[in-house]
Amino acid sequence: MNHGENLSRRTFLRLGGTAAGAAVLAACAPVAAPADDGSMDEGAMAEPVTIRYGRHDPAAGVAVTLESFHEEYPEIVVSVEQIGEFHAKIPALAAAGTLPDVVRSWEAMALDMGRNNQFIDVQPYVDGEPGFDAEDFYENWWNYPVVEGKRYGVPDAAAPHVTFYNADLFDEAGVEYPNKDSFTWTDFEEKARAISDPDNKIWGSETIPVGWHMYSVKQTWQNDGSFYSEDFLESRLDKEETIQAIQFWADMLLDGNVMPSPSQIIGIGGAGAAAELLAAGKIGMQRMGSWITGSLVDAGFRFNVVAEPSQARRDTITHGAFNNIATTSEHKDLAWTWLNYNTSTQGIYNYASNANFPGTRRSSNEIEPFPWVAEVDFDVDWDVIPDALTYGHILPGPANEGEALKLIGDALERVYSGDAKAADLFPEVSPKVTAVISDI
Amino acid sequence: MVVGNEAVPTGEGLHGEAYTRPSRLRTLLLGNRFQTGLVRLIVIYALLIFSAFLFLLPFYWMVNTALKPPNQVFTLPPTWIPKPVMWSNFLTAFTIQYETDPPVYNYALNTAIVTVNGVVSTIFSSALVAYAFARLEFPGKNVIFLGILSTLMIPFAVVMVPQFIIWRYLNWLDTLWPLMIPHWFGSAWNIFLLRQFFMTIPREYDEAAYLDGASRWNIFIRIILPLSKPALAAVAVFAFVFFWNDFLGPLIILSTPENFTLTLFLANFNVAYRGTPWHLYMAAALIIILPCLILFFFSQNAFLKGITVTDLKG
Amino acid sequence: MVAYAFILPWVIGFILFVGGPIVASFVLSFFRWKMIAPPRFYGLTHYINMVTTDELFRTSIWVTFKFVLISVPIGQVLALILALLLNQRIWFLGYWRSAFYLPAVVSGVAGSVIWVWMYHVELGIVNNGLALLGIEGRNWLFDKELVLGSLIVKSLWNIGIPMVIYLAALQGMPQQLYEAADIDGAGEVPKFLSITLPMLSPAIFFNVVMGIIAAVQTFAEPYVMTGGGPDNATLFLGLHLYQNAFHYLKMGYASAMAWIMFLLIFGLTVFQFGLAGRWVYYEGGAR
Repeated sequence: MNHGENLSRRTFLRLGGTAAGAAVLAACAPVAAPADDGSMDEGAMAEPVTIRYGRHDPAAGVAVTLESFHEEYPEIVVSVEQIGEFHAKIPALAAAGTLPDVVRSWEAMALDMGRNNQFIDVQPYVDGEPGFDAEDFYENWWNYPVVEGKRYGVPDAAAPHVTFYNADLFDEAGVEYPNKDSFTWTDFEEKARAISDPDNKIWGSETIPVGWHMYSVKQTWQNDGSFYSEDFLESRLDKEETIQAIQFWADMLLDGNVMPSPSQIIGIGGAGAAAELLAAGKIGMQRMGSWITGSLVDAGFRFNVVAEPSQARRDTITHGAFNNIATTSEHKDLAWTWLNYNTSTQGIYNYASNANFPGTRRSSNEIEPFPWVAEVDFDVDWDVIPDALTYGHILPGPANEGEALKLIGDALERVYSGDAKAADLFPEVSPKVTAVISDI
Repeated sequence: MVVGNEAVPTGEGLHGEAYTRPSRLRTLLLGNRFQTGLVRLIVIYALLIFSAFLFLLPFYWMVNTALKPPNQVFTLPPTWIPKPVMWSNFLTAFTIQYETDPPVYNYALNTAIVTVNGVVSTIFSSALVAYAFARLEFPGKNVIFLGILSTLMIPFAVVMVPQFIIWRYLNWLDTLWPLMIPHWFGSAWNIFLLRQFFMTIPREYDEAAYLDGASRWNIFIRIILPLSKPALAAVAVFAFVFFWNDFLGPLIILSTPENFTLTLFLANFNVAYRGTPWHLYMAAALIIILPCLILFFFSQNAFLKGITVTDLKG
Repeated sequence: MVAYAFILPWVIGFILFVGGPIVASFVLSFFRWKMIAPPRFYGLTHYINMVTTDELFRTSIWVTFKFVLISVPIGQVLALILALLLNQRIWFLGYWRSAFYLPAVVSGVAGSVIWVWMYHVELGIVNNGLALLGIEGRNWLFDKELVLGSLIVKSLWNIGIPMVIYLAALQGMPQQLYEAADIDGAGEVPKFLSITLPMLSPAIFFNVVMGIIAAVQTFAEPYVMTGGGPDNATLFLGLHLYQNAFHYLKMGYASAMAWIMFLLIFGLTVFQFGLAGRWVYYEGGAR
């Protein structure tokens, strides 16, 4: 696969060179001139095999793992491909038959690709691996990528959402810190309202990231609602609890005295800037994945964590990923070698500790310093983060998720902009979502 | 209309009648048949300046931003003239490498390959086909020509999906081949343009050669093509702009950054760089449109002739 | 026979890349094919879904229609006005012409990127320019009432090609007609209406047809500038189709939509040709 690409690329250069004249090429490609490194020689024994590894991020967190892997397995070269617009691009790559050998996929993606035979069943590899300890993984994560007895991936990280709060801002406003044992939506709103000072661009709560629809699903869960049924075959948007939950937060968003409203966001530099408000010391509380810890370490204020506020029940999302092998891979055995190495106790720890969230292996989470802990000179209730794994849920994985989220997202956008009421809109959208996700 | 009647009370000179000679001031302001009046001049130039201002404004805003130092990009209100002028932004934008992505000149190389191939292939193949329609007689000629013209109405979207499937089964997705090969078979628009031009070449030139025993191929290569340089140049510059700027084709075909063309890079730019550094973004945009701007300035005549070579009446 | 050899490239290209795909596209539109799973016969379901369940499809048709019906006429009038201005006896004709033509060589993507920056709510020149005039700016690309208008304004920036065609037509006009009218003492407006416009009608017809074909296929602008939003206010047919084909991999449904797009262009073009007989004036009689 990869050899073929190199080959055609080289042919391009020659062809282009003939047509364009050497001058154009020389001007455009000072370093791109292909050196004949003999990689066309398929028979050469010493030639390492390249395994393409696709992820949504630049893989800074697996740099250490990559390095030790290359030392241990000099015959395999893992080439990382950072894939932009991940959600859209992975299905497109699958359709094109050019998926990387190993793909690090997200929840719904892993299931959808598996159902459509784009990822292979790795259970035989798991069974054939001496000393593989499946019990080491949290059960919900380990069992998630299994459809009809076939295992389409191995999990690595499990990042739960919790509430980060700026203790200094609480003190300044004379507001009590969130209670560890009981923290409700009402508490959240009260505290946020007390801290907010929109004229000085200070808010008690982060804004709702409109456009990130998975953020809203946790709010529906906390109110006993959901986007989908348990088996992901039916929409639950029309459920009373779902509607109430979204409307509750939409009202808070539009209020403008609790969190930056859509119109206020423009005044603070757009959604991109809004995401950085917590680190800038302008936000009292932010419900977010534990990966934002890193950006708070040098922020210059005391922060702490507490579980997400709840209404009917305590719940949150845990967002993670699975490592899968593409059906089109020509080096599945070597792909497994890398996959297994990357999802080992140390592999998961390397990545998770770099990003400040737990891994899906218990053993990774026992290595000290714990992966979610960052070094700060004040007390933080770090236990809150792994604790969230015990009650939180993995992101849902319906079929045709992209299309379903387009429908749900459009509806959410209208509610969050105050254009429509959830009670009017959701019952109308719900059957359409059902039609999309049940169309397997 | 009213002004016209006042200025020339009776049918001017038609019946040889004497008419009052307008005062010099009046002529100066309102003009006559041979001289544009001042009022009219002022209106024309005011409109020209106003429109040109609006049309060039985006370029100004792009250049202004592209030359700003980073700390001035987000100042409010924005500065109207960059100070100091940061020429280095262009170098930064051209050589910057985001994480594992290839550097910008790699995209430029891909675009150059696709563009050069596109220009060469479409000119050659279209000229070949156009020659047949301009000079040769064969059954079905008019029907086929009409067929070619009607393909102009077919949106790319209709053929996009099946073409994608073809490339997929040839295993050519994410290579530059799908962006190069289809252009070796003539394009309807260029066939039409070149045929119109070939028809203006006097037939005597090639008839004489034909009687001397030259083959059709030789006539095409030796006589028609050399005589058509202006038209070929026009097609070439248009093709250049088209291929350089093509977006939807590369978007569906290419998936790994090292195969991307410049337009894909630019469209992904703000995705890759969170918090968009607009000065670099604009510098990159300027670099990308520069070849087309330069080409335009050096081949204006070819450009304009290219558009107007079509005899719209036929 | 030699003739067929010369047109062979086009014939091959047509079969492989145009004709074949058109037939394939039509056949595909009756199948459900996600590309990563085997195709299934679907009958007319896709076409039925378009008019029943897929509201986004109707939105996209409506958005595209509005864009075409507004941007094409305004663009043509503007191009004609500019051409008329350039057709006066003016100094530096070449420079003025270049200024108006220049945007036409800037690509859809680069041009869109520039306009995103122009429209930037705080840092863009549009709002800052309006502020100098004491007018409060708007959020041009994120207000669903304004966004299509903003895209139409951007499209007016690219009228270089029709303008040059009008200019060439104006310059090629037989002067004797105007001289005769001058002798009759006709004013500017009657001269424009009874001579210029009829003589320009073939150029207008050509520009309108080509303008419609291009406008129906608008893609890069919404893709780069708005992503179809806000609230699908700029969900052009081309964008909706692209998303269905390459994000949701609904190749069959996308093919069905492509056919509708083709019919839309075909219908509008035939409509134009039908009208043309009434107003397009061809010198030298019927041709």
